[in-house]
Amino acid sequence: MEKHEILNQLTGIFREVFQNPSITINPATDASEIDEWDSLNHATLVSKVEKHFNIRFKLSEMLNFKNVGNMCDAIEKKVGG
Amino acid sequence: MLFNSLYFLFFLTLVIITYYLLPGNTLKQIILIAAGGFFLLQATVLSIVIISVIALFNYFIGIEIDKKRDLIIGKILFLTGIAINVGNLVFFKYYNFINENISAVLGIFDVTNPLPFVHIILPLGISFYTFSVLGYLIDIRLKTLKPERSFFAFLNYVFYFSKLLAGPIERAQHFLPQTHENKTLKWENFSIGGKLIIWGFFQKLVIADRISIYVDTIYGNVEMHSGITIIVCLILYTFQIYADFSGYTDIARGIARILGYDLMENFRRPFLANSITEFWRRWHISLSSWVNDYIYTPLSLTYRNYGIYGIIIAIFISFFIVGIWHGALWAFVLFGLIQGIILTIEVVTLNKRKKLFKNLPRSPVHVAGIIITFILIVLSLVFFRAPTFNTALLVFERITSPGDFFAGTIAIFLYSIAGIAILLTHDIIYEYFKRDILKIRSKFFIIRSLPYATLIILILMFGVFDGGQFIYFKF
Repeated sequence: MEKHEILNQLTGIFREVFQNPSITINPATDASEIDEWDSLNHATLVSKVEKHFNIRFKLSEMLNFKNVGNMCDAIEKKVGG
Repeated sequence: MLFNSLYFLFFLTLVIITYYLLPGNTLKQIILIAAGGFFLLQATVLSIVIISVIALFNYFIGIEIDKKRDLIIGKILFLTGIAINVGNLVFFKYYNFINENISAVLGIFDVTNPLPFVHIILPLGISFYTFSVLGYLIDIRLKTLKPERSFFAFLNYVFYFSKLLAGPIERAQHFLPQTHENKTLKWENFSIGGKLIIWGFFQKLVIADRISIYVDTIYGNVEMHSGITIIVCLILYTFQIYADFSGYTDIARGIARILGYDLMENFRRPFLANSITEFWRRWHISLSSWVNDYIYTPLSLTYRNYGIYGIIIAIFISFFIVGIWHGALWAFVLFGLIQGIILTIEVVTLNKRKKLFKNLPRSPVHVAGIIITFILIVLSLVFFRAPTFNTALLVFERITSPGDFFAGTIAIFLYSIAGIAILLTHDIIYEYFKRDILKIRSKFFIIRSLPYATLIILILMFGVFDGGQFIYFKF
């Protein structure tokens, strides 16, 4: 799957989890730029991403998600480029 | 050695002069490490032995964890590092507490506890530096940090004297790069640092120690006082602990700044938080963000498939740790659990509240949130301050009892209120108008210095100079 396709699908998940249809994301987006993205719903977001792409992250991978780009890279690695 | 003593002022002056006279970074680091050691020697020799062993151990194991990260031994080393640091803290801080509870449980079954009671003196600063080095090892394991190769730089991270006794719990990523910078004498650092120190002393000596005279009187005789007096005392104590700890942090940050170091912020106008969730993002930030990053986040991610229940489990474990971190007492555990319960309620009702308040005017909802949060903090801090669990219960029992208001010595009471008013005004203007009331824009140095000169005069006139220890030193 191409990176921009992953990003597209991620946008949908972000909008659903954070209940905000106007959210746009890019690889550099981090939690500070999205009001609703805090430590209380970060786990929900990751869980939804895993279910959507049918993948499973390792704890060390998840702890290194500093922005959307990190998450995209990890997804790309698991679903194949 | 207290920050608020002439002896410390002399010590600090000597450190600063020597520091800037010494050439090169290594010698400067050595003088800071020596200052930390000297600080600890004032207490017990054990304190300095323990911190030295911990610093050496973490320095070497940090490098090995990185070197052998792809091998099984790397994981074993990492887990050993965590176990030894946690074990060290648990032994010194919690051994007798755990032991007492084992005895109590075994007592129910008429069994004698085989574990001996040991007379343990808590090494100074252990709760603060243990969390710092734990974070250091975890960051290395997660590849977010390279291990520190310079021995003196690492020792400086652990021993740094102005954060040694009560934090802030500095992150290696923030502190270590600063140890490699070339530190030169800069007026700007003295100016910013000096201002922080003055504001810190004002909070401590004028506000916190003044309030403590009233609070100590009421807590000393809870059964004698009316509900209204107790309520006022609880509110004042909430401001006391804030002014005390925030004052300490500002002094610690100011000293560091004079030496060319930037220590992290510990408070961001906590009483203007409009929920307990928000409060913990503003109160003792170096501890709350540590627990968030190293306890809550890994746990909530591990339990991510349990939905809201996973988050609740992570919240409770995190706040159990926040509570017991303060000391080996059930009162602190209870304090943590109360925070956990309130946070859970906030998380569970978040969407409902959003819907409910959507059509209401924003400002009243915001202010109501601030007031409710403040009341919850005031009530939960009873477990923090009450000398015994029974006193805490007595406080709640008497909170509705009728009777006259007792103001104690009127002057002390009024000074306390005036101090709180200044602190609150400072925070409110900073929060909503992004302006620091202590900063005057002028090209004249004398005019710019006026607010701080006033603070110094207020400290000399109204400061309590025999108030003693900072509350957080005992943690």
